[in-house]
Amino acid sequence: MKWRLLPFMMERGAMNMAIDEAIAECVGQSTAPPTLRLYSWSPGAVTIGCFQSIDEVNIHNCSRYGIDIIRRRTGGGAVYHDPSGEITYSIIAPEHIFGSDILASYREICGYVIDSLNILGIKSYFRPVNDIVVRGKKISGSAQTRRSGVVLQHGTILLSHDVETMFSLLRPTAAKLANRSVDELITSIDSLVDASKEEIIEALKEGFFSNKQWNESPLLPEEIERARILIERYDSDDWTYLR
Amino acid sequence: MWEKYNQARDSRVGSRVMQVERKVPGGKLVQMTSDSKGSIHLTGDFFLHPEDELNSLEEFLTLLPSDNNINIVELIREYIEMRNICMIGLRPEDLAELLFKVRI
Repeated sequence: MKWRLLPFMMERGAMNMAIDEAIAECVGQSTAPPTLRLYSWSPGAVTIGCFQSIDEVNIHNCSRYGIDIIRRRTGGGAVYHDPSGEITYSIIAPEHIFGSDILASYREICGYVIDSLNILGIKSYFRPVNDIVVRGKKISGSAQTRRSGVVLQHGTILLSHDVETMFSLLRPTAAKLANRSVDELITSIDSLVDASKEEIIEALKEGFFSNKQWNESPLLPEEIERARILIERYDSDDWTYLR
Repeated sequence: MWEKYNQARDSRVGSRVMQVERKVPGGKLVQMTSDSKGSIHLTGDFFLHPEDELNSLEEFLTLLPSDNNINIVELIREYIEMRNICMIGLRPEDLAELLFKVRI
């Protein structure tokens, strides 16, 4: 099976989520191949898991700083997507490729990110359910959904981290932090190795596509058309403020 | 935006009778709220597949009796098996404990 790599794109948050969903629909209909997407966010955005309360977000500060707020269709926690501080990946493929065991598929897909970090000289490991850590500090988080026989997993790889901004936008509960500072909990590539964004993207391609056939090609017209429809949900307050 | 936020908040917090939370093994945080009508709501950074099953799970939890003689954990386990729900970062035991606490 031949994989598709989409050209790197930078979009606003609602469109990023709509594109992921549109690709998943087309993969489910066998009109699109299994796909790796690498992308970033402009403007910066906070995404929250589909089950999270909107109280996890500092809405006032997001509004003040022009940060989008988007509720994902995947579970998991709140994430600040800094336009220059991270790369997001999405893996979208038929379920039979990764099997029915969800935890095992997290391990497999996160394994590709671990391989990519290893190429950059960073030793990391998988911390179930959905994290990749370096010396106990999180460098990558991910979230997965399965619909209509398709696995969609998206995740972030931190290039740098701005603790002050992150904390002004998110409201993690005391229980979540467990009396630890954010610096004790997360790390990023820039504090571990000297690598450009281009080098990191190349490492991700190599890590994901090792032993796979692939080519780079753009979104299909039907994916673009569908994303333009799906974006309405991600832009709607009814969805964002659902919980 | 703020009008929507306030509406959502009123529906969750304004009428909130009780909210409890639990950090479950694996680090996920689960919050359970019982509103003024006794309806149960779940929020948190856990994973539940398929995601669309959350509402029916909340309805099921709402309808569970408060009776110490009933094995609530087993009932929850049977329900999630029957509905083919896969919970990650969340166990029937966690839901039962939260349900017990939120109803105190």
